[in-house]
Amino acid sequence: MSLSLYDAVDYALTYAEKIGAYQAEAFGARGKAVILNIEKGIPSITTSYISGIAVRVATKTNYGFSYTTSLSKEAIEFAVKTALEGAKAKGDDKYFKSLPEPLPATPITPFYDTRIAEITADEIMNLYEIVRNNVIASREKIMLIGGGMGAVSGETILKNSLGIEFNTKRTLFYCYLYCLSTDEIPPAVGFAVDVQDSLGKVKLDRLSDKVIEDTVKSKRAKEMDFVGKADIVIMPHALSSFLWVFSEEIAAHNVDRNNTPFKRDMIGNKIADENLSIIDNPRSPDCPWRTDRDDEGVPTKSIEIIRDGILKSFLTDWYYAKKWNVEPTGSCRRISAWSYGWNPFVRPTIAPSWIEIKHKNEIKYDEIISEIREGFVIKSVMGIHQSDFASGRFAVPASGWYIKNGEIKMALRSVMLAGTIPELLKNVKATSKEKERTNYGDLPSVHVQNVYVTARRSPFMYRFILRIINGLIRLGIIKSPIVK
Amino acid sequence: MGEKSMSTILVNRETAEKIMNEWIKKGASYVECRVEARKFMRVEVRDKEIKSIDSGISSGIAVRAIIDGKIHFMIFSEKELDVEKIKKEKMLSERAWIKKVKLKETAPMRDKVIIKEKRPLETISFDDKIKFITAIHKRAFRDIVKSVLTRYSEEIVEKRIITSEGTNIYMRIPYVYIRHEVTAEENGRINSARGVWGAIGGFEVMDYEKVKNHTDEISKSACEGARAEKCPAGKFRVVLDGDLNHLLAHEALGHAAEADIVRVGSILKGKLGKKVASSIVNIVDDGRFELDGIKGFGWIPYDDEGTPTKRTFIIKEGILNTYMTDRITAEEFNLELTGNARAQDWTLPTAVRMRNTFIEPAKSELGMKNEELLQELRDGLLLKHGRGGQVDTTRGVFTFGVQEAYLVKNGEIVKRLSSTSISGNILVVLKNIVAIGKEFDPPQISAGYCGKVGLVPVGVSGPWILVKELIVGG
Repeated sequence: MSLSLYDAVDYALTYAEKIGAYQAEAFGARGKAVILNIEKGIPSITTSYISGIAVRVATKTNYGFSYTTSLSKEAIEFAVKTALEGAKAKGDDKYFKSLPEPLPATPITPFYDTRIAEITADEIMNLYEIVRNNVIASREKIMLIGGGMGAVSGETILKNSLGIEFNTKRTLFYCYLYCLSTDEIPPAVGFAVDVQDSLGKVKLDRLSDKVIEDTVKSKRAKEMDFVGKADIVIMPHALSSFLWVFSEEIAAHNVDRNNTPFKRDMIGNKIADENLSIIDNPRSPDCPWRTDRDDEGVPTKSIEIIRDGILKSFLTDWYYAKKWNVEPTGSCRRISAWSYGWNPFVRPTIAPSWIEIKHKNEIKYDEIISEIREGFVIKSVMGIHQSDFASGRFAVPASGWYIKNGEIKMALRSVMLAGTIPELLKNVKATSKEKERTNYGDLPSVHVQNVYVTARRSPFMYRFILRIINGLIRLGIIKSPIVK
Repeated sequence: MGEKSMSTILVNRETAEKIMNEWIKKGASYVECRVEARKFMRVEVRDKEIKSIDSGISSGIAVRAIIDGKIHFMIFSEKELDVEKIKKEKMLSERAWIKKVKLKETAPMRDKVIIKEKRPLETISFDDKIKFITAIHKRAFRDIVKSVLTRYSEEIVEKRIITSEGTNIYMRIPYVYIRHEVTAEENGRINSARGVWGAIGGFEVMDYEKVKNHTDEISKSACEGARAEKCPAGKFRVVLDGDLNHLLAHEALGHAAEADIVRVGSILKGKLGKKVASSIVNIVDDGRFELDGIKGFGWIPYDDEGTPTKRTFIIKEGILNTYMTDRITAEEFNLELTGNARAQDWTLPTAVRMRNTFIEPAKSELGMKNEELLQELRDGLLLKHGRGGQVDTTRGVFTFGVQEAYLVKNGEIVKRLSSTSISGNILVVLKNIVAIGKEFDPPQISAGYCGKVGLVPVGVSGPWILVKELIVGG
C-alpha cells in the first residue's frame, strides 16, 4: 500500500524517531517531465511521472543517506533503516553537530507555469517544428541534426525533525539544438541552449537564429600551426565548462581536503584580476530555479565568491559551515532535481545556483575582438571534466575561430588549450556586455590573456584528400555522409 | 527487505498487461513494458575515512508503444502508475518529416533467469560489508602510498520484460564491485593507479584473498610508477594488455559500430563487408561471455527488448561483419538482431549498448601466449591498463591514458616506465595488429560501466595484442 507524498515524508520522520535516530530529514518530490529528443529525424518522446523520498538520518555523530521511489511503508522503513545503519557505520565525526536548524528567510515564490505543467508530447513537437522550419527556411546548407526540449513541473517537500518545513512548486522548460553543415566533412557544428521557468520567455525564433548563425560561422574550418601564449575569448558555453571545474574548486567539500588550488587561508587574498567579481545568486530573478531556501532548508543569499579580485567566500552547506564555524551560504543542492529530466533522489551536494560574472572593463563583444592582435575565440571545449581539481590544471581540445589584427579570420577545427583555472582568473582583461543563457547563469564572453595554445595541421595528404572530397560534395557529385 | 519482499515493489504482471491493453486500444501495433526494481548500496572510503554510504530502492515501469511507426515512451515510478494517465496521453500527430520506425521481427521469448548467489548480498550484515571494505581499503596503504580512494557498490536488479507479442522474461541479476584509486608520491613525483574487482554474483565475488591480492597489485603499481623513468614519446612497436585491448575494442571501435551512432555519423558508416582491420582480427561483443564460470560484467541473457543475446562478431577476419543493433536499427539497416538494446534502468529508454567487447584472434590457432608475444615484439613497449581518454567516433580518432609502461628488449621486460598515453586512428591501428594472444585476464578486473546514455555494466578484457606501430605519449 503506497502512501501519499506528504504522508510518506511524515512517516519517514516518525519511523526514524521510532528506531532511535537522533535526527532525520525527508525530502519528498513528485514531478512530471515531457522530454523530446530528436536524432536524425527520429523523435523520442518520454513522458515521465516520478515520485519518491530521500532521507538523511542522523546519530549524534554522523548521518546516512538513502532513497526510495516506492512509497510503500516497507520501502520507506528500509530506506530509513539503512540510512541509520549508514550513519552508525560511518563512525564518529567530531564535526557533525546537527542537521540544519530552522532559520528565517525572506520568501521568494518560484514561478509555476501551467502551460509547462500541462504541455503534451505533441505540443512539444510543434515547438520543435518551429525551429526546424526556421532552419530549413534559412536556405543555408545546414541540418538540424538533433537536440531536444523538455518541460518539467513538480513539487518538493522538505521536512526535518528540527522543525524545517518547506514546500516548493515550480516549472522549467529546456531547449537545446544541434545543427551540422551538410556540404563538408568534418561538418561544422552549431548549437543553442535555453532554459526558462515560463514558456512565454522561450524565444524560439531567436534560438533558431542563434543555432543557424553559430553553424554557418563555423563552416569552412581550417587547421593551422600555432604554439605559444595568446589572447583568447571564451564564449559563454565554453565558459560554463570552465565554471564546472571552478564550482568544484570553491565547494567546501573539496576545499576542506585541500583538493583545490584555493585554500581556506586564502580568503582575503587576491586570486583574480582586480576588476573581476564572481557572485553566486540563487535569488536572482533571472534564475529559473531561484529559491529562498536551499535543498536542506537553509536560507539562500547572494554570495560574493570573488570581489574585485579578492577571494571572499567558498560555498558551504550546513555541515561545512558548522565545521568551519562560518555562516552557511545555503549552497546545498540536489542538482538533478531541477534539471533536464527529473531525478531528485540523489545525495545533496554543494554547488552554485546562478553565477554572475562582473568585470569593470565590460565592453561590447566586437570591441573585445577589435583589441586583439592575434588570438582565438573559444566556442566549445571537450573533456574539461578530466581536469585535475587539485591544481586546477587543464589541457583540453577546443574549437572556435582565429583572430588576426582585430578581426575574425577563420573558423578553426581544433586547438589545444592548456593552463590552470587560477591563471585564467588572474588574466581576465574584459568581459562582454552581451550575455547568453547557460546552466550556470547568463554569462558573458570573457577575454583572457596569456593562455597557452597549440594547434597543429594534419599531414598534407589528409588535408589534400579532404579538400578533394569536400570539392566533390560541393559540386553535388557525392553526398556528405550526414545527409545520406 | 529480502528477495521475496523486493518482488512486492515490482509492478505486477497483471498491471503491466492492463497498461499494454490501454495502448492497444489506442491503436498501438506493439507495446513493451519493462518493469524493474533495483536495490543498491554504495560506499566511498577516502584516506581511511568513510565519506559516504548511500543506499536506495528504485522501482518503476517503462512503457514503449509504437503507433503508426511513432514511438511513445512513458515511465512511472511505482506510486505514479495510473492507467488514467495513459488514457489521457495524446498521440503524436502526423508529420511528414518524422521517419517512422519498424521493428525487426523476432520470436517471442519466455524465460526466467535467476542468478544464484552463493553468499546472497542481502544476508551479509551491513557491518560485515563495511568491515570488509575498510580492511581492503587500509591494505592499499603501503610503501610510498599517500592517498587511497575506494568505492564499493552492490546492486540487485530485478526485471520483467513483457511485450504485446508474447514475450515474458523475468531476470534477477546481482552485481558487486570494488574500485581503488591509489596515489603514491616520492621526491615530488606523483603517480596514481586504478583497478577494479567486480562480477555478477553475491558477496562470494568479494573473496578476501583474491581482492586483497588484487589491491596489493594496484598499490604496487602506483608506487613503481612514482619511481619509474619517464616513458619516451614517439612511434613504437607495442604490446597492449587485455585492458587496453578492451578499451580499443569498446571505446575506439565499438561505439562507432553501434547502429544508432552509425545513423548519426560514424567512421564505419558504409563500410559493412569491407576490410577495416588486419585479417587476423576478430572484434567480438559477447552478451554471454563467461570464463572459468565467471560471467563478464556485461553478461545479459536477454537485452531490454527481450532479444536473446549471443556472441556478435563486429569484425570477422578483418572484415566489418555487422553493426550492433536493437530492433529498430536492425530493421533500418537490414541486419540481424544482436541483442544490444539496453537501458540504465526504468527511467531511460533503451539505446544500442555494448556488453563484453574485445579483440581476439580470427582463428584460435593464431592465438599466442603472452610470453610468445613479448618474444615477437622483440624491442618496444609493453603497455598495461587504460585510464580514461577521448574518442571521436565520426573520425575514429582516440587518445587513451596508459597506467603502466614497460621497456622490452630482446623479448624481455627490462624496466618499468612512467604512465603515458596512446593515440591514433582506430582503423589504422586495427590494420597494424600483427599478433594476438590467447590468454584472457579474469573478468573481475575489467568490470566497468559504459556511460553513453546512463550507465550500463560492461566488460571484458581480452588477450594481449601486438601492434607494429602506435603513437605513444606526446
